[in-house]
Amino acid sequence: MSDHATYGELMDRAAVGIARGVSWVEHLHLGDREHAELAITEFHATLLALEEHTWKVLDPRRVPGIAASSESDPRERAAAALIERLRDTSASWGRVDRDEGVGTSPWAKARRSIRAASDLLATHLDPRGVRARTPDVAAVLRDPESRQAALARVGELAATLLAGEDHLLLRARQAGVPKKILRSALPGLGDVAACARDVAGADGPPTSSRLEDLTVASPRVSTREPAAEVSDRMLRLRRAAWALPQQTSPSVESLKSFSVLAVVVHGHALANLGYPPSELRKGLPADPNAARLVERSRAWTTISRTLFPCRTPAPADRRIAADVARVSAILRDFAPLSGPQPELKAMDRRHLGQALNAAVEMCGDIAQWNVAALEQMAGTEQLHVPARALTGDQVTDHPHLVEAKLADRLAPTPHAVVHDLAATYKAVATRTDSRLLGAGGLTLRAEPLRADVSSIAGSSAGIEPIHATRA
Amino acid sequence: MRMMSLSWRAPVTVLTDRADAEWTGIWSLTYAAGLAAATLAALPGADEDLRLTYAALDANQALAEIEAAHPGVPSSAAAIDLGTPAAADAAAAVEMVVELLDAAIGRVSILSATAGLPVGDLLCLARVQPLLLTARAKAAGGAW
Repeated sequence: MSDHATYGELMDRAAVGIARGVSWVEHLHLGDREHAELAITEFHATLLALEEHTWKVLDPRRVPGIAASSESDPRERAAAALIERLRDTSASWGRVDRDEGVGTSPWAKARRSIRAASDLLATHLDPRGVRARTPDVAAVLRDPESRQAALARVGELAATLLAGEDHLLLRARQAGVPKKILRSALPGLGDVAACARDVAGADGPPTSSRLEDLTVASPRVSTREPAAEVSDRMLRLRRAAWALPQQTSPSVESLKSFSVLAVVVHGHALANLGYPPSELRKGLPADPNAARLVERSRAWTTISRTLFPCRTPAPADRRIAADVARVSAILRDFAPLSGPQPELKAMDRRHLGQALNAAVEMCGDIAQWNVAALEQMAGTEQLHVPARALTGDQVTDHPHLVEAKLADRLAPTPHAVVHDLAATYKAVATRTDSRLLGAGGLTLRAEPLRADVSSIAGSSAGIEPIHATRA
Repeated sequence: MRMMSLSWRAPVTVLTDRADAEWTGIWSLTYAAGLAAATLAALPGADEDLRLTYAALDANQALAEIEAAHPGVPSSAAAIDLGTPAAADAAAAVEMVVELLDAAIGRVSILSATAGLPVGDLLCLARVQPLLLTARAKAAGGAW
């Protein structure tokens, strides 16, 4: 549903460019040495772009260990060898013009896509490429399955490009490029090609839908179409929720915004399923999915109510509040809970429903990270409530709370309140996938997966903007 | 029908009559209104169109604005929880939420007109006022 290019789309474009390069080389002007030399430069630059991409996928910190160990994964070992051999070989090429901004050849286009894919991965990490900036680092970039898929893809591209070396050599000779130059420029890269084939793998290459659907971190929000805007803002909110417990002093105001967001999303999702408030008045829906949504909606409402008196020293994050306000405004306009519904094309209505489904899934992720933030705030005594709001039962065993209540001051939120709140969060949180746990099943090594927006929402290609009119 | 509203009536009257036109008074009125809206929103069937959920959020944001400018206010202002009404009393309770918000809006107008008010405070009130007005519009059930 998002308008932003995915990793899969960029690598598909790279594949098309590399494949079309074969025909481009075939049609090089014979007798035009300059063109042939340009083709060789393009060949080198594209190989180096693939080498750099392999390096990024493999994670630079891991490469020395992979190369040195005989126990490491065969595909990863082959990838490390591919990097090493390409670096050795390229040393004799002289300076390769890596400027990808000007070329118009299919290989130049492929290279731009590969570099864009590398940049896409880089946006999920800090400038040093170490610390995660998004939950997708653990769930995708450092997920072994996704890494295998990425390496297989890059290996296949490298193997395909290298398979054209002899053909390029032939055309370059025909164009009159001196043998001395060709000996170093196209020396016979069969061993590198063999490495690339090892990286690609003999059987069908593994795939990872999570990797394919990965988009740039913190993308510009698309306002072209309501469903796309809801998806983009929800993804941004999901990332903000993930980052919250990592802050030293998270703000409870953010938790309040997220709880209202979840109430709103569930309400509109129910209406979209055919359960507007007028239907829900008749009782719990018979449809178990809808009934589950009702229960979750009620839990989020309880969370919202319980959080209201809570205070933290940290100020509210205005971006979170703004995104929540915008998502709710779009949903009110295009999927109102009651009254006349806007006239939408069937496809637009379907996209909005898909965006809502994805948003509901994301609320489960948000709950998981919100409870971590809550427990951190409470554990570091940053979470307070006006003591006057506490009941006698809550303060009776705690003299400092009694004193605060009498003086009408802020007091640390009682443990029982935090405990109940955490339990409510956990009831609506996404269950952690067992595949994301460490070998012992105890260590969380990855965050929950991103709600699969693309597969739920379908491709945004060809979506016309919604032009709504009131019925 | 009005049994619960009678139990809310007394504290609401005390608040709307006695809250001063200072930061603490505005905070107390807004807090009571927002918490009451959030409490009503949690009653099954009482907030079908989510108006009270949104009103509580706006009230909370108004509180956050006040607290950002005057961090000591929540420690010195009265924080009133009106309690949970019976579902049958929800409509009357919503009216009282609106009453509290009206009182808060009135206090903001008075404080804004105070001679010699620092510019920072004036701007803070200019941010609080629209939040209270939108909270009121949402709670009152009009167009928003």
